[in-house]
Amino acid sequence: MSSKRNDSKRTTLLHTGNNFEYTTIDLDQEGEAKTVTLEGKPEEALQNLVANHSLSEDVETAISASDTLMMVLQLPATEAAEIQGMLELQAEEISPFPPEATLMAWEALQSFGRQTQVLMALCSRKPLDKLHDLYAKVGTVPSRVDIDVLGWLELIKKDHLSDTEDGLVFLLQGNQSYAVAWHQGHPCLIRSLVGAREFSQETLEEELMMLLLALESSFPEANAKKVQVWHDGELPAWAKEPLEEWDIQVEKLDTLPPLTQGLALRGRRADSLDISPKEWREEKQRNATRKRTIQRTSLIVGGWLILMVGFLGWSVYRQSGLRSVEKLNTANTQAVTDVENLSMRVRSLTQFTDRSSSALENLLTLATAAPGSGSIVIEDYRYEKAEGITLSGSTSGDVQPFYQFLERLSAGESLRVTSYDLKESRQGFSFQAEAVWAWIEAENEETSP
Amino acid sequence: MIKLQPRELKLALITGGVLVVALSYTILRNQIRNLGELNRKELSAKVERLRQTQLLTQRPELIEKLESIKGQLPRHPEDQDLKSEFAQQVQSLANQSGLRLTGLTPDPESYFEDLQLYQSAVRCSWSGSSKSLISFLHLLNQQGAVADIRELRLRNRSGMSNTLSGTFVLDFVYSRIPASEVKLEIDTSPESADTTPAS
Repeated sequence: MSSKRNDSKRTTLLHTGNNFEYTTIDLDQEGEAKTVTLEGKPEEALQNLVANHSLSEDVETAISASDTLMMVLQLPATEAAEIQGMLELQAEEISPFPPEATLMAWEALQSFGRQTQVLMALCSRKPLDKLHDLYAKVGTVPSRVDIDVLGWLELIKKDHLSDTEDGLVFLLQGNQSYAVAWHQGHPCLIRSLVGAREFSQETLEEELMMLLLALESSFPEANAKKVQVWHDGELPAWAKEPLEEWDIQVEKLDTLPPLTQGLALRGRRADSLDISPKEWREEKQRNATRKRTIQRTSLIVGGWLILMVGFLGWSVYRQSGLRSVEKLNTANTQAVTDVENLSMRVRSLTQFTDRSSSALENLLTLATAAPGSGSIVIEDYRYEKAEGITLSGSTSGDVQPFYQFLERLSAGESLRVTSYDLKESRQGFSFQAEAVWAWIEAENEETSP
Repeated sequence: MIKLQPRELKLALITGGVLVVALSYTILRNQIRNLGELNRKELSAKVERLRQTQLLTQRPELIEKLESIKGQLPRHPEDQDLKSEFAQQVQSLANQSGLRLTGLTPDPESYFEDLQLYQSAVRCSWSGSSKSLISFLHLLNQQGAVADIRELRLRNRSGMSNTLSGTFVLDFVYSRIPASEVKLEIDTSPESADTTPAS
């Protein structure tokens, strides 16, 4: 049984003779399949196909029915595990291949009450190992391996055999020929015919009788009177003659859609036969895990790189921005120094025209700020036009007049008291105070925000 | 190509992850530290830029103001020695206000090339009452943009307002013009160009 498949597109690829043929179908939609045929050495053609055609990641393929032994069995079970166990026992008994080199696959055809009709296929590892080697060259492992005859039957069933019909189908493809007994929509016997194209009339009749016998032994109610002959190349001579009691219908295989389409349609069903070894699935799973790991690692490393490069880039961008601002600042230094000097000169010269901070005005400010009745005496006063004033003096008795004096001095617009010192003396308090021009403090605030 | 077992692959990935984290930590730690420094420098540079821009935009206004002030300053002939004249002016003002000048020293003349202005200073020591000092300063102010007190020192040792003493430095700022222009100004002005502000 094949594993459940979730991806929406699937390519079925088949190597027949010198040709490669593939069909990609959308698993969710009906529609025309695309088929391309390539010629050349299998390895080169496959590499070319993978390189130039949009194949799905999962590839299915098929082996020739001539490499397999197929039989239809009726088993007293409906559980897949039970059926598997029964078929493994059966395979051990009837397999013509060594047990360690035998591959077995099956698919349920139909159920009757507690019985299930299954199609079992046995195969040697050898043809599958060849397939594995071929696909390994393009770095893939087929996700499912079907059997070519089943693909043809899928196509014939679709348009030429109804589900209520019984009949016999002859498939003559190249030097391979198969006979299939058909009962109500399902094959009940599939066997290889050796030299079918050269059958005599008698041999053909014998084959037909055997097939009919096999069909009727499994399904006594079967009533097969119709023989469909599907062939490529020349039509065998026996098919040209009418056959007593049999209705022979001759069709060319190339009137059917490509074989890969039939196989692809089978691949849509989750329970279709898959004869690929279990190790392939494990290998595929390992490959998928490795790929996922590499992708995730790449994603993480890529994301990390983007983050780091982005961060470093941003940092470089910021540094370059800083450099450009610093460059502008440096370029302006001389001009700014000139303006600063100019401003200083203007301020200095303003004293000659604007007398608001002149010595006279300042003395008047002090006189206004000093409390009356001689409670505060200024003993030493120093006025500097560029700095401010320094003064010292004394109070008689109470210290309050000094604070009142300072408060009034600071309340004015021209001066800001920066420090003072007060000491108690015999007559009262002696003090010392320093004040700067208000414009000096304003400038200092501007230059150090 | 070496084929790794899943366990080896896992170990390799964990090792790689640890290396990537360590590398990221090292790079990011240094970068974040640098970025902090960068932020500070950037802020400082931007503030400086703003200050410079503001200063530079003030330039035309400052030049205009300077020209206006220069227009108000007195002008003297190019070759005239002004030391004795300034001393006389100070003495005259002191006499008018009742301030006693106990010392008077003129400083050498300085020239400000960028402004094309001259500056002379007179250092004086004085004594007198507060009334005479105020009167002196008042008379000085009334002279207009002729002179200005740069430094004033006042001592009141006795605590009485009529026995003050001290020093002052008086600055004179002016421009000099050729003698021919001075003559022209005398012809067009009723007062002498030596002591009168031009505007």
